[in-house]
Amino acid sequence: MQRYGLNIRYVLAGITVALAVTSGTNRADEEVAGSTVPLESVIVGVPERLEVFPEEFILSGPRQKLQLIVTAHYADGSIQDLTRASEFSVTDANVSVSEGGVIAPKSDGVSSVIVAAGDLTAEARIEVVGQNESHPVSFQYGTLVALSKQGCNSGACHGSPSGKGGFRMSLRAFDSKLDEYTLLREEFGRRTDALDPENSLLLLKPLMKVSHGGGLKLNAHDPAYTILRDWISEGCKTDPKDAPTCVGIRVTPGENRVLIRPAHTQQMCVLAEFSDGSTRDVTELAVYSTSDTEVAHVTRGGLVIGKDRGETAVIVRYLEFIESTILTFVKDIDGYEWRTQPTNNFVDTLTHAKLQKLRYLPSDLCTDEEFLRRVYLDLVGSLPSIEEAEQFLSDSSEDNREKLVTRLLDRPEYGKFWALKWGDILRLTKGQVGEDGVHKYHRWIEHAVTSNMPYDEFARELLTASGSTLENPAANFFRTTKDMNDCVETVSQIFLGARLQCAKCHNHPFERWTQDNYYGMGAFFNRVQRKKTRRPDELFVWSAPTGDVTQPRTGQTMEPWVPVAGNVTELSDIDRRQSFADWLTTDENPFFAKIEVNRIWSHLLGRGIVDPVDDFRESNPPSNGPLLDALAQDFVEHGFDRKHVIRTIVNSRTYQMSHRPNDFNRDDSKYFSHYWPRLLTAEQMLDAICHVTGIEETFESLPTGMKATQLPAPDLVNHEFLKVFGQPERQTVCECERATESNLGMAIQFLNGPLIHNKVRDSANRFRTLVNSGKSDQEIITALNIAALSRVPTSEEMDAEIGHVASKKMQLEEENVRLHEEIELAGQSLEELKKTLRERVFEIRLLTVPEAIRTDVRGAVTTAEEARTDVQAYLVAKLGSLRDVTDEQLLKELPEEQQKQLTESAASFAKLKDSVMSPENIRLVALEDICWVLLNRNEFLFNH
Amino acid sequence: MPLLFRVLVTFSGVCFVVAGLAQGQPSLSNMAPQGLLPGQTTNVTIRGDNLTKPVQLWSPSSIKIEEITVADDSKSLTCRMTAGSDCPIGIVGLVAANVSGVTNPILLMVDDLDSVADNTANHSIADAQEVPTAIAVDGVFDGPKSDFYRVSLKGGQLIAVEVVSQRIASLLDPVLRVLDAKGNELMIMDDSPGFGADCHLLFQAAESGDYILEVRDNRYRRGGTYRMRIGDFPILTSPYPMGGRLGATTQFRFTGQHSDEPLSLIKYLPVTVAENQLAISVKRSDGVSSAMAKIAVSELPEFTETEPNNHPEDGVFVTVPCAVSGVLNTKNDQDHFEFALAKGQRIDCVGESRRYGSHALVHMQLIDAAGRSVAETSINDSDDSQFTYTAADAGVFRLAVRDLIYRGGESFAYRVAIRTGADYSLTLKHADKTTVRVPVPVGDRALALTVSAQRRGYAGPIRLKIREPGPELDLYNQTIPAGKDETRLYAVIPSDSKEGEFWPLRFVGIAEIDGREIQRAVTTEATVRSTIPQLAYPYPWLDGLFTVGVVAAVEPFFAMTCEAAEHTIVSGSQLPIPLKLERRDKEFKGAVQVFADRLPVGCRIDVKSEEDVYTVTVSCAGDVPEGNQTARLVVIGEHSGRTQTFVQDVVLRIVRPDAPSEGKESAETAG
Repeated sequence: MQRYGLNIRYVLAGITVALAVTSGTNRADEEVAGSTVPLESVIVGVPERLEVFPEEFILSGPRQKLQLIVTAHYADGSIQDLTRASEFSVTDANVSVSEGGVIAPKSDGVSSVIVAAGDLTAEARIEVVGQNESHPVSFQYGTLVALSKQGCNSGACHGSPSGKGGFRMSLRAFDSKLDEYTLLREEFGRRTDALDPENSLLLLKPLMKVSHGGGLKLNAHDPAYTILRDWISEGCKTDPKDAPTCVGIRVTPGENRVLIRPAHTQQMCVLAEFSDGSTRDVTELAVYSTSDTEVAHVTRGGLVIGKDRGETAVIVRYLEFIESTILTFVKDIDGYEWRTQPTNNFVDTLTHAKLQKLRYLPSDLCTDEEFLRRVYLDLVGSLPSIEEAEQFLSDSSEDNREKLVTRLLDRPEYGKFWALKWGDILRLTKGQVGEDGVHKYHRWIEHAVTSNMPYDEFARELLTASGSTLENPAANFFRTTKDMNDCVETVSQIFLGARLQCAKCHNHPFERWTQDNYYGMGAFFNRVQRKKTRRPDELFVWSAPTGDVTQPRTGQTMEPWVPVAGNVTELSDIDRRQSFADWLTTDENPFFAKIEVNRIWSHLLGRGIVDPVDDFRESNPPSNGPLLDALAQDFVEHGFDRKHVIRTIVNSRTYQMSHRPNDFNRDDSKYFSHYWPRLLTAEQMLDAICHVTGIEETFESLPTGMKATQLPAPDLVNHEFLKVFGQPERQTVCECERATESNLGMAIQFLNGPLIHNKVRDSANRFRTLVNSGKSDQEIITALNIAALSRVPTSEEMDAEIGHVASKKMQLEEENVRLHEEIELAGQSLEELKKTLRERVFEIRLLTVPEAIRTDVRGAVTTAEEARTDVQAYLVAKLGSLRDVTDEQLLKELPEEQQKQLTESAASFAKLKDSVMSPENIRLVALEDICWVLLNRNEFLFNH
Repeated sequence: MPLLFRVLVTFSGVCFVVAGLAQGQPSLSNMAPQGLLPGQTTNVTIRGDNLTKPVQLWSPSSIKIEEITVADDSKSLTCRMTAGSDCPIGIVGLVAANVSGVTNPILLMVDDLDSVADNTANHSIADAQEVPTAIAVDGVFDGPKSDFYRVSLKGGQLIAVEVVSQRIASLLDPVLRVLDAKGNELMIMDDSPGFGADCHLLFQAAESGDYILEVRDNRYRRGGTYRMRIGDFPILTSPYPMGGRLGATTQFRFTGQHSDEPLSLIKYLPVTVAENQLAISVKRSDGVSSAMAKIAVSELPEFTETEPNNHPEDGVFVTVPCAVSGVLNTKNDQDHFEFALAKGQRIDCVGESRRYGSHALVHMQLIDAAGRSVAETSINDSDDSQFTYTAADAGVFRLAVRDLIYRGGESFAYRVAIRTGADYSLTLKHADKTTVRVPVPVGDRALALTVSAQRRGYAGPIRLKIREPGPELDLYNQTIPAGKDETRLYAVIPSDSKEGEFWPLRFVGIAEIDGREIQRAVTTEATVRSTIPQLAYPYPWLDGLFTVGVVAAVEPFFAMTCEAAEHTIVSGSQLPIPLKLERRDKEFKGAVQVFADRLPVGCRIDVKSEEDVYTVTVSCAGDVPEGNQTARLVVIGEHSGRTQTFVQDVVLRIVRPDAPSEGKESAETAG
């Protein structure tokens, strides 16, 4: 099948559409999973210059091909990929060129390929050699690459640790020795048949000519098929020992490229460089993916197709070699016009640049009230007091926000709150560091934050910590990281933003991290030892002078290794961790500063520039690289001063933007065109509820007044509300352990949970105290609103809330009237019941009277006094008291069933009477409602 | 009463008593005040449980105790206590005993600061308790509520503050903060290195005014006691040198902080000491209150390092045996000492640091003349480091000493004791399970302990005895035989002991090594640590101490019967004496041990048992003279934590082989 042209199929979202060609443009489709979708046509326009890549190339051997890339440069500085819209011709017949710009050799010689688009032409010189020489398929760079391309050795298929269907390959061909054994010797070599290659199981199964659990994975027209078939027919040879090895790949375009619609596609070209100096085009064998499939997708042939505006990284993988390039897709928006935006600092400049590039407009600034609430929650974790709010809101100076930020950063609560964040990352729990250690480690972190310990020093203190975990609490870092593996994974995730867990067993399937890298980093930490001492609960951390790391797969003793710099040869004689810390905190480290500024950014704006914050990788590029770089550089230039970074961000207009989107940023969730509201964290939420209600929460044995945001560790208290709202258990170093999504349990807590219920009902709560101090409804409602929302209620809100008090009063008074009626009726029926039951008691008492006179007694006591006979008068005198039954006697003398009936009736009656509310209670119930409603407002629940 | 019922009652009664022997013992919880001024008499209240009258109090230190009055509820007592005027500042102990047994030791301070009690209502800055600047506050941690104290200071005034908590066996871990009058934190101190969980600080007031001292537990736990000392005492870490030679006069310097004044003390060390440590008090030249410290003392000559000795070629030459002290002055500092060893000569090196307040954790390496490492500290859970080495060849060896993690500074002092030749040490076996607080019922009379020997090149016998001064008790199995590593030692208290009597005991071993009598104490450190884990380094007076209290008799679990009290034995022959074991407690399934006292010279016994009949065979040599002699057979059994004795006196009539036939017949009859 041709790769490009009228007969090629494209697939997108499973929709099959017929192909068409537009005048002057090319339409192409690409196959993905058996479906096709059309490509929009390329409008060539009037380019100023045409560029072809590569301009020169040598095709060596009959299997070589070359993907040309044609780029048009326009007068306005924009560029467009015209590869699929160009016309190609050759000057000599020793090469052929397909419509999509793929050159194939025919015979030795030199030819020029003429590329024409619009009115322009360009030329590439192609030399063909070795067409008459033997070029057997390389096992490493042919067979394994082909299997990787088809996904046979992916983690979900035969690359899983136990393989699939009895066929196990190394993940993404990271262990060629294992694959060699599996393919050539395992099962007596039955997977291949050199005599009849096309009937080899290795081909029949993915072709689905023999049942295959993984389904159709190969087509006869795939380049991989040809490679595998040829390799089998050549006798399944492995590579000679002196065969050249791949040393790297080059991806074109390599620089970040902006494509403005109508430009929206980009063909990639991947060249592999070998140890013998040769270069081969591996475009059709490389594996492609994009970091954001909403923005663009990439075909199996390396054609990137933009879908929406935004940035995406295109990740190209060829065996263990991974490269990426960033493509930005832009389209014009109706009515959009960039307006020059004021800036507070470089954060705004760089944010605006990105927004302008992508055709977004930033939202307006938030109000002072919103800023006040936001900055309190972000810097000290709690809401401002009413006095603090009033003080700030009455400050009309231009720099009122800056002054507030400075005040907050100097408050002790700042250190306590940010210690909570670090506690999450450092897995600070009683279970991990002991009951003594947890408080000491927490105090150390809090002190480090409060004293603004430079971040490089902070990291160094942690990573090189030795000695007693009680006397030097930073040493608890090596109590929570229990062995070399744990150290590597924790350190890389916290300080390098890399999740390395998978590289423990195999090369990272999607990133550059290899198994060697993992154990190379491990060599820095393998000598860390821990010993007990005489002091209970104390651990002594020290570094042994010996202790090398052996790579489990290769058996090789690993040299200490760090990213970028590679193997480290100049090592501290005493403690290799020192050398690691030296590298980590050096200005040349591309990761260290970025990770931390990104983490701070994420805490303040709800989303990292790289997100998740601990997942820096090629396939997860920053949403604003220049901004991240500038923040990191500024951080370094200011001596790793975290307060400076916070101050810089918080003082920017970017941070201070309103959460309300405008028409030109509504769909943006990545580029910080408006503030992103987020649910308060569990601890913030609890503190905020306590603040609004004025009822402090006490945490078991911890001091009164300690806020939830100041708790040293989650396992020191068992608090249901905190658990429901996502307080992490700190079992991992991932910040993702803290739940940020809302759930039903949270809703139940707010609707009917005991915590809120009890605080709203507490006799000493904020509004009851205000009621007792004689405040008016208006004053109380204002206070509640400022406490909850950091603003006075609007007149509409005040009217509604005052109205609620009035209507509640009316409603409850009406209810009282109804209750009084009910009480009267209930009282009557209770009396009726008692009367009946008295008769019953009388009857019971009569049983003590001789049966013969019972009727006479009954008659005597019910006969009017003046109508009684002498006998009746006598009987009444003697036995009339049998009818005198008190309420107490009723309960004593009645059978159990009637007693119960009477008790329940009396209790209902009493309850009914109690439900009548006094005027004061009616007011309190109304205020309870208002308080509850405030706590249930999104404006309260979210940091906005 | 029916027979069955009586048996059951008796049996259950016995069980109750046995189980309750340890549980029903009296106990002490705290005392007020917790400090005694040297040379002065202090009225003291001690609280505890089961303090039924009469109670006797005992202190291993020179503290006079008188006028003990026990409260009717048996939960407290009062007394007058007087510490000797020469008593150094430091932690001492107190034990009480009565008819129910012996209490746990309670720890208190001999202190040159007056005591005041925590007023218990000082849980806020506003309610801070006013205290003078030279005082010791006896307080109790109140969980999440801190205790606040207000001190009035002049601008520039220095005060030292020290919280003594775990050192007086409190479980809690103090945190001390200095605040200004508004509550702003000026200083915080948690663990002071070298002091474990306890902490101290030196504070200088910037300006005149009130300052607040806040004390709480690190974990916010409640109930533990503390003694916060406020004064002008120096804040010390460790002495240097750390040790001195018995009988020598040594000048000790002290690292730590208190202005720029160098602190030193010239100390005459006694010729003999009970333990291998001395508590000493240190104060500034113009100071009023003292800091407490301790130094190591031994018979070893003491050397100190001479700088520079940081490089192998600069090693300080010493002769062994000796003790060397040094300071790891800077980060990565390593001190070197050189000494010569003869071929086959053995050395034992023990490095100490933390137990004397140093911040260091010593690591040692022995290097031979060729530069090879021949021995090295094995790193384990101990704070002390040690190794043993026997020289394969004669030569000069170099000892390299460093901190385990290469720290340094003036507080990183150390002392290494290098002993040569054979030696041994003694420990209480199964220390974590063996109690050193022993109630002995009147009839039982005995306690048992297994003493283990850690031999270092000495294989001969080690004889155990009670350390002097101490009571003279009969000991059985008192020798660890040559080549063996332990013995089950029995100590039997006198038969006329009465309920409520109290016996403090310590055991030592004696061995003759290379013509010298070497005496080593039996250490119980592991037991003390298992009962008071917060005491990282048990005080020397506590280590090795067995407190034995005589309690009411309980039913014996066995008895022995001997058919005849008089036996005739022909010298040069053997005489079997059968003893029948009667098991009073059916649960008692074990064997008993039989020992003999007062045997005629030249006689010995052998014991064989068959089922419950123990045959004691007396063998007398042919030259044993004629005559009657009363020998004593002591039978000891162990069951359910009790050690019971049974004593049977037997009269041995020794006759010559040529004596009249009557005697012979009698002897044969007896056999």
